[in-house]
Amino acid sequence: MQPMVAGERGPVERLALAAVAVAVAIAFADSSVVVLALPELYGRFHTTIVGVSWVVTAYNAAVAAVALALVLVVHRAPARRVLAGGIVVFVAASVACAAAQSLPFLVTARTVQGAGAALLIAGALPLLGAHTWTTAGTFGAAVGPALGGVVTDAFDWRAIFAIQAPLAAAGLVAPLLARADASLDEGWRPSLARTLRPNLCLGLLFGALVGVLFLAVLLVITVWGYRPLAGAAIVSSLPAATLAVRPLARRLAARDAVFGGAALVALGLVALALLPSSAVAYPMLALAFCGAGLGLAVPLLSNDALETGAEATRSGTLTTGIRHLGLVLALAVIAPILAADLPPAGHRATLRATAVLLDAPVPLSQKVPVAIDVSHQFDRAQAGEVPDLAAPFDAHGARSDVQLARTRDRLVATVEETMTRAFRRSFLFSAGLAAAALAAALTLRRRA
Amino acid sequence: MKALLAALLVGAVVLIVVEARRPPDLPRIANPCLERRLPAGGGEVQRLILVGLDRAACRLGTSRETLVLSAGGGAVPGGPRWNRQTVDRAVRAGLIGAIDEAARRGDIPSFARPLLEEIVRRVPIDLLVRGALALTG
Repeated sequence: MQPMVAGERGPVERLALAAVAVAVAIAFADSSVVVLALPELYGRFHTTIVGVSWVVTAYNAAVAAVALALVLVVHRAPARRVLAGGIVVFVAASVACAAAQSLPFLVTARTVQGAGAALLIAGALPLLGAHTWTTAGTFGAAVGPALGGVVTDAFDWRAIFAIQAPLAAAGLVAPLLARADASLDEGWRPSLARTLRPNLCLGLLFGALVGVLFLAVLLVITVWGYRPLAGAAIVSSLPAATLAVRPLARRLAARDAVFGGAALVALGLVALALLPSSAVAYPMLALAFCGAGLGLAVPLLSNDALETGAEATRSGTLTTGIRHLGLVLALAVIAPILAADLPPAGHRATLRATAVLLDAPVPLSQKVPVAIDVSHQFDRAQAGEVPDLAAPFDAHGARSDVQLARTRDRLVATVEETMTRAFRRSFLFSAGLAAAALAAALTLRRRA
Repeated sequence: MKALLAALLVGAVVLIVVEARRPPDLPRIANPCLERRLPAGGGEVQRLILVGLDRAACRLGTSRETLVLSAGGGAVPGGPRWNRQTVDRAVRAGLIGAIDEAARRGDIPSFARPLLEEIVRRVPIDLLVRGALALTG
């Protein structure tokens, strides 16, 4: 397939290319698009947060596995067909996800969707060209959680998949319009070793993004109890900062931008690890740092990781596979860290909440029924659901009783702060990955 | 431009470090064997119960919070587990000690002391709680 250069494009072709760019952005956004919907998902399927996390992991693992396998063969296949096949599989799997009636079915559909995404992303690169492909991918990755949160709040989690199916399907117009694949066979040129360092940097950076795209979102939704729309507003500082730094990225030297970007991601993750409270300004600032880092580093690293001409598709497939591999490996390490840290934090939170209730200056006649209802909310949390700790107080008169309202606020803040601290080690591990990306960026500098 | 960015970064790092060093405002799980300030305005019955809980927890070598969660059937992961009789005995002994202390201070009339102690000895714990609620309601 021949890339459509600017001078040759008519309005129909431009629209078709825009549709493919949207499909690529959706495929990257899907890595994290359902994170804000996780509480709804485990409510629907009566499972735990660990069980439902496979909805996220399966997609990313499938993209990584299929993309890395495609590196061996993709240069022999017509990119037009790879793109069309990828879109068809992705759209069909999206419809299946939207119609899923059980968790195993949803996880299977997400796996197929990930395989389709890998094909879609690989086939789109020669058509879009490196710049548009990279921009669509970077913005898609950053906007994923916020987009999913808005759609979930406006409709429900199924709408995430129902809406993306026709949007991705529109991308089919481009391969249908493209001219015959005269120069599709790229041939076997084992020169991808050149892209190893930028790819290593990207893999580490995407591993670090687990802290941003998953941990931060889980914290906002499951610990701080924000609704998906409010959660989306908080995490929207991520794509906003990604967009905002684009003019700056053009003015900085490439290696400065990569180095500064990795440093900003590391700093943002350290800030998330040390969050002093659940006041929204702090996580928004920290996420903005991460988003700015993403906007500075990823486009330039992507350019470095992409070969031009005959090796373009293979290098694009390789870098896609390595990014998602970084994401999946980081998830595989961070999930057990968080799983180990949450139960003891939950125990500490329960003890502290009990202390708040015992010491509250309210009569026993209010204290005991509230305590019983609060203990039921803690039982919900142990079953993997999101507890509403304010509800028992409100049900027993906190809206009109100042002392009870103060006790409610103190208890909620105590539990939130205790649970927030349980995320510290996971955020610091993510920051460590960003620091490793920083070190890898230094080797890029030396190579120059 | 680079200097401005560097200054912003340094400022952000300083802000993060300052905020991170601020001690958390979290309730302490206090030693129940030491005297503590009791909440104001809860009434004498609540005061007796809180002092009684502290004394019971001290006897069992645990915190009053762990004791309350155990007594309420709540999960106390990694924490001590006692059978119902042990908790009952400790709570009754703690409440009787609290009644003695309140009588010595003159917070309850001395003639009521034997009666209250007998009630605590004989009445099932859940009935005691309901009775306390009725008294304060």
